[in-house]
Amino acid sequence: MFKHITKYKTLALVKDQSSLFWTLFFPIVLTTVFYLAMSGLLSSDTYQFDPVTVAVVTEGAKQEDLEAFDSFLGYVGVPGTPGKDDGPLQADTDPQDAYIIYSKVEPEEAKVLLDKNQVYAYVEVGEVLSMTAKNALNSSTSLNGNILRALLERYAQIKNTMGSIEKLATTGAIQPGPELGEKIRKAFESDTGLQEEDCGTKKGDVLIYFFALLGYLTIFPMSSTIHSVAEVEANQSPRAARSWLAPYPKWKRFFAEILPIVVMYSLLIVIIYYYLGALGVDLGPRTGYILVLLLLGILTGIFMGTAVGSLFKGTTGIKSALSIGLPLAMGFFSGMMASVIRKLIKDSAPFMQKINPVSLVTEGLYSLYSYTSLDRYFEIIIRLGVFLVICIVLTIIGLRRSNYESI
Amino acid sequence: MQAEVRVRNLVKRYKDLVAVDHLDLEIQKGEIYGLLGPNGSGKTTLINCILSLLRYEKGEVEIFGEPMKPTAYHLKQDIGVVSQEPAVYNELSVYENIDYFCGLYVSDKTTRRRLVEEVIEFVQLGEFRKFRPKKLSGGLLRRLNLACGIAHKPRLIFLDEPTVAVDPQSRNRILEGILQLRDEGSTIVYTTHYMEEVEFLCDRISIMDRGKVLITGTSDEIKAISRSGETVRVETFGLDETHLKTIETLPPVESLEYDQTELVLKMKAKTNGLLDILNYFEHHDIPMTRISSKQPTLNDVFLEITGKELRDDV
Repeated sequence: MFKHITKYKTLALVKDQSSLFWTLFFPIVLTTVFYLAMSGLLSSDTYQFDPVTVAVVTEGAKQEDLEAFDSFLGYVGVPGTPGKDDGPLQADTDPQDAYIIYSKVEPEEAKVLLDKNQVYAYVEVGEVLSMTAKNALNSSTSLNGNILRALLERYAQIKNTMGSIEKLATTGAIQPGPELGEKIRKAFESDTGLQEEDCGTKKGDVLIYFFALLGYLTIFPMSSTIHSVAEVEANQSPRAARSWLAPYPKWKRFFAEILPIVVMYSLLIVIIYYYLGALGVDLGPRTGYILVLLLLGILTGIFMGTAVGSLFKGTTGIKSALSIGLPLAMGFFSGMMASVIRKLIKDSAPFMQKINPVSLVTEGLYSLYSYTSLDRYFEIIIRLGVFLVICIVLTIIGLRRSNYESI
Repeated sequence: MQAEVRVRNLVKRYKDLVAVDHLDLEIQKGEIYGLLGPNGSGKTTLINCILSLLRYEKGEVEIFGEPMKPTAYHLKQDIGVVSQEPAVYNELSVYENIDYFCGLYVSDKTTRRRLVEEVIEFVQLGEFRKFRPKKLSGGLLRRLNLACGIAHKPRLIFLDEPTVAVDPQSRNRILEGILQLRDEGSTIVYTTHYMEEVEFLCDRISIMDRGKVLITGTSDEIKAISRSGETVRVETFGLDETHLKTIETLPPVESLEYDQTELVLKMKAKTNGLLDILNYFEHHDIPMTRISSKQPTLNDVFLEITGKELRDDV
């Protein structure tokens, strides 16, 4: 009977032209419109940036701190020398992948280099790092400030963590590992701590629109499943009442109802992912991880719809409004319409990102694109998983009735 | 004999409103049982309680001698329901709709195909089998709705006002079909507002109001309890006051009205006044052009029992 219901639900979906438009064509049309609007920005090369020039003062630093900082510099920078005629610091080797061009100098010399604008900032190495910059508030140079600050914060964070682990090792609680410098090198190998917005890259800003679009499209199936509940709950439609009277358990009917929707939207999101690739939107090389995230998003969208549909008995009009409005609002807060909204939410109400499934998918895709490490990705997968479980539980609560108080 | 449906002391409340009030009911195998009542009298609520679709505060419901529960799937297997509002899929064709709902009861494809064909013939929708419901007229849609509810050949069928807003041809077809279902062995519970349908179809009738069954019996038994008797109409001109006063004193006459062309006489219950009136007119040589007599109808009894004030659905 499960197969019988699924077969006819699929047939009803396919034969319903308006639903077919919303299910299949609208997401593809929306993706195309996004692509057409953003393609100019995507092809731009403006996301290249120049390394930050830094004078490094090591006077008075402990040997251990020096070694650690050298490891850090070795990974993120290249050494340089002041340019002729008080020109800016010039790299001694090819700075292709470097974030920093540095020169180790005495404290007095560092101040002179900064005064003459030969370096953007000088950093004093010690147990606590300090950074001095001249033009921190100048908009044209704040990009350098962002990069340098992000790198130094990451360094300090790893150094502190490693220091705590070493203290534990000296007590014998854990086995001592490799040297601190080696650990820092390894940590930076996996993740520099830099995010696209730190580098001010236009590419990241543009891709955020596509990440948010994919996030929105994963939650979009709620517009179908919010109405599917009305086919199962006898107090929501005469058809559901008729089906309720059949000798077949409600839960099996429910799963038979939503299975075609799960399959259809899962295929659709995969098609859209490859469609974006065919259009030339590079979402990064981690296809497997991306698809797992998108399919988890689809399930979340589907069960969000069933949760809302089963908990609120409202009219079809109200449900339609909710099913269109909620994903759009979530997409808006994730930066789908303006990426600045995402930054605003991130800075002023970060909890909203954590409870917004569209944001979670967006951030997950972003992390796959931007970070070498998968830590953030898995953190988001877990959050999305928890959200999905909550939606399933709410659906169970909403659908648990075996009969009704009123029809 | 074991009743197909037995309801004992059933109480269903919607907050302060008592929709079904300590109601008892028994429906015997093979009968067409009519549930009559004004809007909001509790007919549909009663059916939904019997089917366990609605929770109720008190009482017992048995179907085929077993307690009815939401999960009593073996009982549901033999029940068919045709709701007041058509419950079909607009995206599916007539054939697909019937096959879908029949498939909820019958999993064997060959049997199902046969049943679907039989019911399509039964409701005479053969030429519309590929039509979608939106393309069907009101009457055809009702017939499709009926087909979806009975395709699996249930032993017990609940028909909730299946002929509302249906043209006379479709209505006749539906009513004939219901009689045929009864003849094939099904027990039918039929709710309606139409008295003539009930008189035509039902073996027994219950009149419900305010959640209670006020009276149960055959159509004749119910009409027999009427407090009013037959109505005699005589077309006659220029009847004078003396004659009118004399006629009013005749033993079977309850009351009379005269408008100089027609005399309308309400007779006392359980009396036969037509002969007395004919004798009086003949004896006094009063000319009359037409005379007719009408016994009290189910409608008269219904209004007598439930009152004449207008009702609206709750």
